[in-house]
Amino acid sequence: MEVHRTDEERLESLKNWWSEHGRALIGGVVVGLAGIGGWTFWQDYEQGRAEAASVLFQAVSEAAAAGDHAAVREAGSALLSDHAGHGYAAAASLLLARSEILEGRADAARARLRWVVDHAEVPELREVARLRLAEAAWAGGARDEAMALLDEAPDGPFAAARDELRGDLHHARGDPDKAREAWERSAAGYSGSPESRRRVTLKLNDLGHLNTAP
Amino acid sequence: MLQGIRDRAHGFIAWIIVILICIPFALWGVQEYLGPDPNVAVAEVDGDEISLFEYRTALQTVRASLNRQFPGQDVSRIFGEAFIRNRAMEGLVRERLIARASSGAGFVVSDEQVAGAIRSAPAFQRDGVFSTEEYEYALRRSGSSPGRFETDTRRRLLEAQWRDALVLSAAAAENRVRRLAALESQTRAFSRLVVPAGRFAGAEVGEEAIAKRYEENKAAFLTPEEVRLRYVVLSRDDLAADVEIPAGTIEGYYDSRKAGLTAPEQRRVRHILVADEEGGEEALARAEALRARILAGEAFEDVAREASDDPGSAESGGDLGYGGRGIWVPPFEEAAFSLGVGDLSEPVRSDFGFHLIRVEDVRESRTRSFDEAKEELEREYRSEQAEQAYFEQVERLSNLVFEQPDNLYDAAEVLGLTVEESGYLSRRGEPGHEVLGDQAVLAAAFDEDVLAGNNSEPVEIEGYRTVAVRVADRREPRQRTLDEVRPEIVASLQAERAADEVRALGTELLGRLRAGEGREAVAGDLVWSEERTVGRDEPGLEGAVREVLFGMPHPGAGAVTFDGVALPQGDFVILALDQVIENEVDAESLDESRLRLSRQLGLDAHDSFVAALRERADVRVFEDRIAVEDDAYNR
Repeated sequence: MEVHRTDEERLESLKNWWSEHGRALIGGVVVGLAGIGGWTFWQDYEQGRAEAASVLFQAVSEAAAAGDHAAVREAGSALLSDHAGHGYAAAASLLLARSEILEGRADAARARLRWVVDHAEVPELREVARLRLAEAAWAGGARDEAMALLDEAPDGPFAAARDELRGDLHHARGDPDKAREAWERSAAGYSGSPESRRRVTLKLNDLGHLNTAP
Repeated sequence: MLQGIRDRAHGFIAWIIVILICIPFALWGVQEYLGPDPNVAVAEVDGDEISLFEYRTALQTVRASLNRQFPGQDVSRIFGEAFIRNRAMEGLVRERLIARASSGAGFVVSDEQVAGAIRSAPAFQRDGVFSTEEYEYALRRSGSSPGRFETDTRRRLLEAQWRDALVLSAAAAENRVRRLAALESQTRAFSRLVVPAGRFAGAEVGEEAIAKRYEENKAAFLTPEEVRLRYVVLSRDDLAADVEIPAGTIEGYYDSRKAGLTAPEQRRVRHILVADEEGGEEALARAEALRARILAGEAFEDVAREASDDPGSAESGGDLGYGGRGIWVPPFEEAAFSLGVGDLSEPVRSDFGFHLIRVEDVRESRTRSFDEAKEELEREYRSEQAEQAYFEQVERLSNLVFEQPDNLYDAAEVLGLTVEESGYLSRRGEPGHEVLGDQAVLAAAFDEDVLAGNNSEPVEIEGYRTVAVRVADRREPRQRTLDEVRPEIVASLQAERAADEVRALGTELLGRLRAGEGREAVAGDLVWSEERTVGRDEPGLEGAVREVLFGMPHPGAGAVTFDGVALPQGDFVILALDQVIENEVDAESLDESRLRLSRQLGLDAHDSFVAALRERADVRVFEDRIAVEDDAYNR
């Protein structure tokens, strides 16, 4: 590296450096600032979009709570068409499916739930939808499809609810032994939910067992 | 130029700079030595930290809510500290898990949604309209602040969205609903044959059996251990009555408490909002136009009702109620507190848009006079002084009972207390007595060290009172003689034998019924009850009978199922189930079942959802850092 004797020499070399690299430096700064600006703008834009979806979702759930299925459909389709890729789309689909089940449009509900199973970002939401899809399939007479859905799901906290539904399916098929097996697993799994455990025990008791051995 | 800097850098200025730079390094980390840092993480959820401060707050909240549920009781003793700590921690982890799910799914709540929720909360309304005064007051009362409350509200709204998505969205399938409703409304027709416990009562009990039972269970036939206690009670309320108030004290107290006796200035404000977050020209023009209309003579209220974009206040003519400083956004507050009563502001710009503001009324800041506040201050002073004295005396009591462990009189004399005496007490104490019925006092009295003749440590009981006890006399447990306990033994042997006989006969009859023998033939001198049809909630049916009855296998057509159950008081009941009746379920109870089942399925889905989030997340609790906190708490 060169050694500078005086301030003048130093100043001179600085000037040379500037004339050589000045443009590139300014260019870099401009590009950087534009990048930051663009990023901020993008973030604001995304935030705004998410807030809009949130407001629509709130409208869907208020309508659902009030039992106004037409309003659920209206706000729900607005949400789904404007924000199809957003997390709120999956959440709203669950509420739309509820309205459709209550209105007796089971096929529409099943399509809706299937979409959530295939597309929801949050894996736990998919499991909720899968369970409900199995229930809807059974209600629509498709027992095999229902059982297949229950079997394809991973193990975990939803197992108690799945086992209850399995038991219901076996019982409807006229297989009390398998029903008993599934319901017993389910009753054990519902450790944190006394009301559901009571319900499953009710079904188990109705299968019948003798208190005093013969 | 650069040379110049280098030359001068040898001077004293350079030293000052170096010293200034040294200071932060020297003091760095000093707070580590001054106590636990409230920002230290006590747990992590996927790297998202839960601070000691949050944990403390959560602990307080859990304690407060338990205290509300069990007023006047020591909840730490009922539930145990571990339970309370665990509940606080679980609550925080759950909050974090849901927050992480929110950001994963892109759930957000805008400022407007938060404001809307606060405005529509009935707790902050007066006459059905949001009142900033009520809002401020409610927050002050609960020790919160607008900033913190808004953060909490945002979190609650997000949690509510998840609840809607998971709980509200549940709809049980029709066949499940019908099946459940049918099961619940099922009735069963049955009759019963009772082998009564009294049938084999009064059996002869041989002397050897009695002697054998006595020998085998000698340890159970002891008189309880009993003690007679001496104790002293130190009470804050007794001390408060004795507090003397030196002349001039309350005056000084008044001066130092003035801030608390002052109600800050409050202003009742109306506004009209022209919403426009960008603060554009067009919005400004609209605001100016509205202003012109009011200046031209139109009533502010009417213009607000017609044109204000603030849904919370438009209907009430823009009225926001009384509010103090710190409630409204800064530019709004500045205008509201600089206007005279009745003046109309220029358009004021805030993050929401442009406001036209008019001040309706001013409540000047007012301080209560000495005479008004005197009585309250005296009371406060007394209990404050007494509380200090109380804790000092507890400290002294603690030392005195320790230094003179063989009597309470010394401690009582020094502290001016009376030594009281009890009668003989077992470990159950004297139920209902505020000192001798207290579990902590009894535990202290039966402590090994106290039974050996020493004073107990002071025990705090309800209502700022502290008790120290010692044992004046002790009755050791004594073996009761065979003659003393003979009646008890005879009674229990007879009851056992009778129950065995009843059960044996019942089981035999049941076997014959199942084998197909006729009901009347089996009954002999016992009598079958009339056939009765009952539901699951039938009143007057023993719990054990109901349980067995509704667990019996369905009888086939024309057949009967038999089962039996021994009741706790000794009867053996044989049940003949003739018919299981599936009743018609009416539309109303079907609706009720549908709602209940759907809601329960939804709640389960929500629980499982959170449990699954937890399984997927990396949750770490740093027990050692919490343990430090507990030590600090116990001290």
